[in-house]
Amino acid sequence: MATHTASVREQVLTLTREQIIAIIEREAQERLGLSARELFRRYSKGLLEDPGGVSDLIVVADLLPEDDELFAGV
Amino acid sequence: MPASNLPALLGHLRELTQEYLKGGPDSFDAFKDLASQLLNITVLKPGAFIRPFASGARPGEMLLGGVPEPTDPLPLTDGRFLRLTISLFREPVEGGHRLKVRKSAFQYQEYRDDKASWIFRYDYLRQPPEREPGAHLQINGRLERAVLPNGKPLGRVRFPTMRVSLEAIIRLLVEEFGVPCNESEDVWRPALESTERAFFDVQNLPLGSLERPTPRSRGRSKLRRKT
Repeated sequence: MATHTASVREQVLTLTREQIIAIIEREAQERLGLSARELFRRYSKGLLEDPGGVSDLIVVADLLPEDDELFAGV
Repeated sequence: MPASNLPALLGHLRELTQEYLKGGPDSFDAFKDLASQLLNITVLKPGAFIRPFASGARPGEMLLGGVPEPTDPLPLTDGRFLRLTISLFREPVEGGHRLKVRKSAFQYQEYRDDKASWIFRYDYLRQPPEREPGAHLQINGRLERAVLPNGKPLGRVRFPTMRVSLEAIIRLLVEEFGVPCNESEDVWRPALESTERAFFDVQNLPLGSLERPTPRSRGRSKLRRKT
């Protein structure tokens, strides 16, 4: 049973707010040409044409506090 | 792995399942190890792994994703990729906690860095924005008839679904897309079946699902009987 279990116990990587924002900012720009803040504003109002294309970014944002300024105005 | 080791594997998976169902401090690790194990015996390219992420801003919560960053897709045995991101939290309940999925996003794609090469997506949002089905499927394909309004492509249609388990997605990849497994069918199939039972018992059924059976309903009873 050890054949494929060598990497099972991976260490948790703790990300800072800056690192989380940087990932979302870079990907939002690359995929939609939007800032991270604009991405969440449009997402929350149902204005994104294809929210599934950024669903992973929406998941990553769960690492931020609910009152993070990224979500201000959302 | 010889099929003779299957009882040991099933026992290990049962332990991990029980641990994450307890919702204790070790439930994150148990869930992560369970997901890793299921992917490792099936479609994950040998040597690849999922990574847990956390942040100081939300202690007690965790995210599973790719390497090196959570949005990086995981390499599969067929040379394609699975983008997997799952956020988890422990919710206080009477007498303890319960580990829950807040959101999950799965995307099967042909190329690592070409996001337009996606094939299908399953997304789940515990609290979706208005007009978005909490759990849905998207398929990047073409309809034979132009029936969607305003030239809307099929890939933009979000088909509402019930919650879809990681096990079901793995099975879909293997059985419908021909993704090779790292272990024989004698091993991976019973492994997926055993862990999927627990998922059916505790899954949250979002609004917009095809059906919303209550714990005592016929629908959920059927699921239990089936497994």
